[in-house]
Amino acid sequence: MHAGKIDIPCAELSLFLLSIAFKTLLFPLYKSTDFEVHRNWLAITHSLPVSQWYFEATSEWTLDYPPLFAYMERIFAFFASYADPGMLDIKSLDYSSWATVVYQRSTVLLSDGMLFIAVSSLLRRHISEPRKRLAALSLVAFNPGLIVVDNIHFQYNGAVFALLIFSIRLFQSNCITVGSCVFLGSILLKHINLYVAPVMACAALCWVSSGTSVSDKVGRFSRLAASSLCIVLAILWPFLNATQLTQMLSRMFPFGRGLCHAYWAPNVWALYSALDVFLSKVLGSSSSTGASMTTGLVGEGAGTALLPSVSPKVTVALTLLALLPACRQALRTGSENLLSLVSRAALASFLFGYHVHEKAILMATLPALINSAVTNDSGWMMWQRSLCLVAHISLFPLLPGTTLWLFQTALTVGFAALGRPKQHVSLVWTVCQYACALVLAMDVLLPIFLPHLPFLPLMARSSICSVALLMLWLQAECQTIV
Amino acid sequence: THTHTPKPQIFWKERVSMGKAKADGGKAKDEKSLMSGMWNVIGNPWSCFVVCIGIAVRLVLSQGPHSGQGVPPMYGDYEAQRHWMEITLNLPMSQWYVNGTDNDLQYWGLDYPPLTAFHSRVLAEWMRLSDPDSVALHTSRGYEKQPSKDVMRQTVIASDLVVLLPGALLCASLAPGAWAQVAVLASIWLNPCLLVIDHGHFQYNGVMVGFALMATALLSQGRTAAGTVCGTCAVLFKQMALMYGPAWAALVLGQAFYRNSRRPWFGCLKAVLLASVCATITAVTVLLPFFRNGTAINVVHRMFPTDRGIFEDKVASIWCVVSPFFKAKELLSNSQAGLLCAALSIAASLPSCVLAFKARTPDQCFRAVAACSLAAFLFGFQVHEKTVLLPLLMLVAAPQTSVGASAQCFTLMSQVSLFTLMPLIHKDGQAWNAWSLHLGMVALLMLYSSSSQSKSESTFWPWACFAFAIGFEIAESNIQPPSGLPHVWLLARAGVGCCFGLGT
Repeated sequence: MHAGKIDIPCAELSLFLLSIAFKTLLFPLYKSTDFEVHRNWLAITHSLPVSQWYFEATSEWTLDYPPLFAYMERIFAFFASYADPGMLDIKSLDYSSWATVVYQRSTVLLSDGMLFIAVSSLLRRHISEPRKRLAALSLVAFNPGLIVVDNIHFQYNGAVFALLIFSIRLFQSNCITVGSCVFLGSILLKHINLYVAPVMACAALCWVSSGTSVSDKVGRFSRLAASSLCIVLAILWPFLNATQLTQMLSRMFPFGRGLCHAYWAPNVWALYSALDVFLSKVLGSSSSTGASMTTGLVGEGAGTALLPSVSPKVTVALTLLALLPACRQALRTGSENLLSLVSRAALASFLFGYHVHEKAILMATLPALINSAVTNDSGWMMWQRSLCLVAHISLFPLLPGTTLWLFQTALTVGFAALGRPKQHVSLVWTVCQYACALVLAMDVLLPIFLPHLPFLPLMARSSICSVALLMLWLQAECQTIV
Repeated sequence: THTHTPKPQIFWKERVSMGKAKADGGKAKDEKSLMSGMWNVIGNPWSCFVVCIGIAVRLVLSQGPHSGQGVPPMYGDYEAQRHWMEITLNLPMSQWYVNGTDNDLQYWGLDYPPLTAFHSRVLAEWMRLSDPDSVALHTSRGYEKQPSKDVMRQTVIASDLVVLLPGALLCASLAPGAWAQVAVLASIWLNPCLLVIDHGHFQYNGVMVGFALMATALLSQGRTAAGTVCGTCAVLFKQMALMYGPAWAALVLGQAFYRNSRRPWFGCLKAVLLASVCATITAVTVLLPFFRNGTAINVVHRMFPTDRGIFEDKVASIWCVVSPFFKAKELLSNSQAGLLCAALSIAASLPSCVLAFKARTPDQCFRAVAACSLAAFLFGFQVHEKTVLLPLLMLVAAPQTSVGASAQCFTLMSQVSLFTLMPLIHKDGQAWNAWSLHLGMVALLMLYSSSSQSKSESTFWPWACFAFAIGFEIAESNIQPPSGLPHVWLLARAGVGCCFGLGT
């Protein structure tokens, strides 16, 4: 936290510049509708007063992230007027001139930079040897998951994870109050961080309860509560009335969207739905609700055909149950193994959550990746590398087309080679490797041999990956319980 | 009738000549150590990563426009390659190099040696499997529809993987130390100029470069037979590889001289005989079909067109740069110009041949060969700007025995080459990619130098060069040239490149 932050080491800067060079190469590639989403939010935050932000609905991509993200878009919008003012008009839907693309992709590079700095400061605390640190940083700078989701598909996960990693860093240096402020900020940046909020809260409570005397504990608790309240109030200040809050919450938590997201994020519910489709095909029932799961559409009405349908309350209850082991360990050990705890919690929430996006797996992989560089336990390292491999394979559907499929394969294989173990060989790693090879083989072979079932590769990928992830999660929990 | 593919025969030749090398002096353990050296390089996780990133970058570049995209009537090099696939697939071998009703030599006639033709023939099968309309005779001119474009790009990547990658691995295995090996692999596999030309503009230089690198590497280890076979393959793929010829010959002599300490001159004679036998056998094998159907002389005519003029467009050769003062095109006839070029090239490459003869370490071998080809590039006849790839890649492949200064020098060379290629890159619409790669290369150098604990100011010149290149671009697009000299910017660019080349 001291001298290490002031001097900028040459090697890390050059690594970052190298990753920037690679990512600028990706500027002209495919961009998904998320690009238009963020352009629209630039327009909304620039042109409208704050009170209108969550009510604006000209475009179908309404603002559904918390306020801190909206403030960030406002800052970006300020500079965007120098790049291309045309993108700031709310009515210019699907506006994507080259200047717009360059500007927006550059802001993503900025958020990547934030992540790089956060991870670098975390690693600096744990690893003293520069080359090892450089190797670990390159795992983040060239992370296929982040590249696919942030730089091509277009999102700002770099900034989101930067705040999360930074808060973990602060927790590990025992600055719990500041750390929890930063964590609350990260929740208000993107509410996906709620996935790991229970664990962080338990770690904070552990710190509170480790006070030397009752008055010390009370003092810690009150400091924690006061600062958290302050930061939340400060960020939510313009929205502190009932209508604004309800509107904001309804935008942020759209529970009407259906159990599974369009691409079938590999979680338990995807397996559940796949099982349902399989059973309905086998038992011959041809109800339309069952068939709609395979069309990739999203909607509340898309219930299950044979198996009982699952309501959001059930998923929340199951998620909380799944988070219990990680929370219990956080209460006991506090911030020591916070990285691995956070990744386990994120994995649990991913597996059992409602309408989970497949991009959310990054919340589990990134802390796991950093932990794998830091830990000395080779078993955990293998677990974490296996998780990353399965996660990256599951992200393939985000980019369409053969060339991008080959691109993703090359990146994933190269990344896996970088994390290849030198001595330790574990069953989990081998199984995951074969599972991923199977998924890739199915991607290639299924369209050739079964072209009349176009969604079969997607379903196969989703099912195999969810089995793998479930297996990994169970292994992690069993190892800690036993 | 034309399913003849020489590649298996070449590998058989190589095994036979390796057998000869074994008999030559018990080099069996050397053979094993070469293969294990290559395996060691790949075993390093960083080299795996570099190879995969290289494939990823190639895929990204291939999404960009290719040369002559959507520009009738002649299109560009992409169309030329596609047309060659069409010709070699549909016509018998006797008609490939001959002007006829089915084969109009004015529309991208084959002007590379037969190995390119066979290569196109093999790839044409792949194209036909994916999209038969793309290689249909006559009707597929200017065919640029989507699955065929992707497949064409993939053929370049596949050719790189089959030929360039082993060559790069072989060169890397000659470098001392794991970090240096990865650096050599990266500087060949991720070279911006090669990437932009092969995967942006669209050509197959990777194959020729791969063969040439293998040749130099093998020759530097004293493997005369295998090296000569590879070298002949390089020449038979693209005749530009003849630029390396004198240096390779000197290398053969030098290595034989050095390795036979007891009877050096006899060793030289043996080496010369062995080399010429191997070269002849390889050449005859490849050219045999053309001898048999009597079109061999057409092949030679297409390979060496003497009626094109001393230089084309604006290329960083001596002739172009001095053209404001010495208009060689007007003063000399083509054949006179050809003779002058040949004489000057040979004269300029003599010092490098001497260096090649005296070269002992692989590093010196590579540099000598590179210098020879650079001389030929600067003084040669009808040299394309893309030919800068030949000296460049030979230079960066040199296993650097001293890092820091050499790495900086080689990076500068790459940067200047990229700089001279920019007009072509702009025409192709690949400028954005080229700049990213340029930045990446300088960052890579900085990473390499800072992580191997050398002085940090060794990256000053590359950054300065990058800034200069940017400044030049901005100036060129904003300042109009005076009316008497419409091409002053292009000439200046070529001039800078040329001076740098001379300095090197």
